[in-house]
Amino acid sequence: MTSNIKLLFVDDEEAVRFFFREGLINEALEIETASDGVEALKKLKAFPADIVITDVRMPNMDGLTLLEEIRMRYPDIFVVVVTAYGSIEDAVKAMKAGAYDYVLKPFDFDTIRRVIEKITGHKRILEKNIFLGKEHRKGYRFENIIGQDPKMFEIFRKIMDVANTNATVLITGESGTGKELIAEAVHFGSPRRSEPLIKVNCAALTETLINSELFGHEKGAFTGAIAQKKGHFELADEGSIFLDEIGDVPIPTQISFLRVLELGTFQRVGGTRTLKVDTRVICATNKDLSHAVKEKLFREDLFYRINVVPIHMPPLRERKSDVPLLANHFLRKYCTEARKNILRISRAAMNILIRYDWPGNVRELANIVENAVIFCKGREIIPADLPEELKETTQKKGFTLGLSSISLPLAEATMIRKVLEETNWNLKQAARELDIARGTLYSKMKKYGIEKPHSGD
Amino acid sequence: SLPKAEAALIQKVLETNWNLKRAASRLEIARGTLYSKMKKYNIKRPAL
Repeated sequence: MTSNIKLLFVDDEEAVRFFFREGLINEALEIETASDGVEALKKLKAFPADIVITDVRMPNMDGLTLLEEIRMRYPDIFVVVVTAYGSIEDAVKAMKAGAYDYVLKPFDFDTIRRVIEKITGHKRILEKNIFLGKEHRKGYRFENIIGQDPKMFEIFRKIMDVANTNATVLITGESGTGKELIAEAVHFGSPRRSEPLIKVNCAALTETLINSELFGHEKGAFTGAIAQKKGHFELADEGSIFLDEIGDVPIPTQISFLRVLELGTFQRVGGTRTLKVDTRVICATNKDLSHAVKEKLFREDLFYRINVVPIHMPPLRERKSDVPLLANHFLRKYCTEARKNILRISRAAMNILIRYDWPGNVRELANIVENAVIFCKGREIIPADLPEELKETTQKKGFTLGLSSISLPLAEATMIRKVLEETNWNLKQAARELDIARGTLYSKMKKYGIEKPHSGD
Repeated sequence: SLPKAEAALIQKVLETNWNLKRAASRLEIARGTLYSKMKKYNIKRPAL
């Protein structure tokens, strides 16, 4: 089934660990086991696991805390959590915290095999140097697009499916999500890879210039047209044209677009000869084009013509599990550029990066890390190296306590219970939120008789 | 933050016009506990 895949299985029940190992003994897997999160982290120091499959409910360190630690220390490891029926909130919490997948108890080995197969496929795409366009001088590969989130995996699959076709692609997503990288991946993965990819930012072209830029002009077509000029479509003949911010194209030009897309023909400005090109069209926009169609700002026929294969890039706040991966990538990139030797991003600084909502998406993250690298004086990036506004917006949010009296013990117990519920009884996280030591939290829970409700698993 | 909440609540109740006996009673803690918490959080009656 798979080869050289190293798997760490974490469960506090010895019998479960034994059966897990026995059940997969015939597979080409290297399996290690651990009885809790603490032991798992010790094992990971010597055992470079590709996959960690962990139970959630365990003593010493539960599965969700282990997941957080792994995401922080080993962002390349795929983590799968095992949760009991009836505790689906654990699965939701785990997925939000960056788990690759979850399986429900009692699990069967077919399910486990399927999950491992899925991860192996993903790893193959990420690691086996799948060159999209080997001949191209840039050596374009998928590694140019960084992401381990399942949403990104779906996008990778879509690119692989569509790249070899001639289909028009519409890439949507907020500014800074990496739409241009997707366009490059589509082009350099296609048979046109050795031909040019012409990039046009439609928003940067004025209404008077756009026709001349896209379709070219004849000598003397207008004042200043002192020579014949080829337009972007002509330059992209046999290659691809990337029309960024397609939503900003004025209606009259949209009609010309439609003609090129339908027939591959156009005329230069001031010309009478009809030219024919064979160009693959890739469009991108951060606007809601279907809404623009309703508002009569975008032609409906053009919308359906370009929306053949839609690819939506999720905003970074919807794939926060990729933040450590991206941040470490940018750290290496900008350290090389600035010739600095910064080893890591500290845990506290990484927590700030993970909590932030990134309205500017990956581009904003790149800028923040570049800025931090420039100003960092030590061997690791610490919160002081990050902009103040980033720290302010990620500070712990306040809340309201409802009390039946102003009793201090009641307030304390209510607050502890509330934070424990909000952190899904993750004691480490709750203690951090409450700004007290974990031991203090234990003793206060004992003092007030606060216990986790029995969930039946 | 639990310590901040505790300090804020004590400060609020003290502002019983700094009557420590009444404040401790309202907070449902011993007067000695209130003293030590005021010391811990450096809560002082403002100078008149």
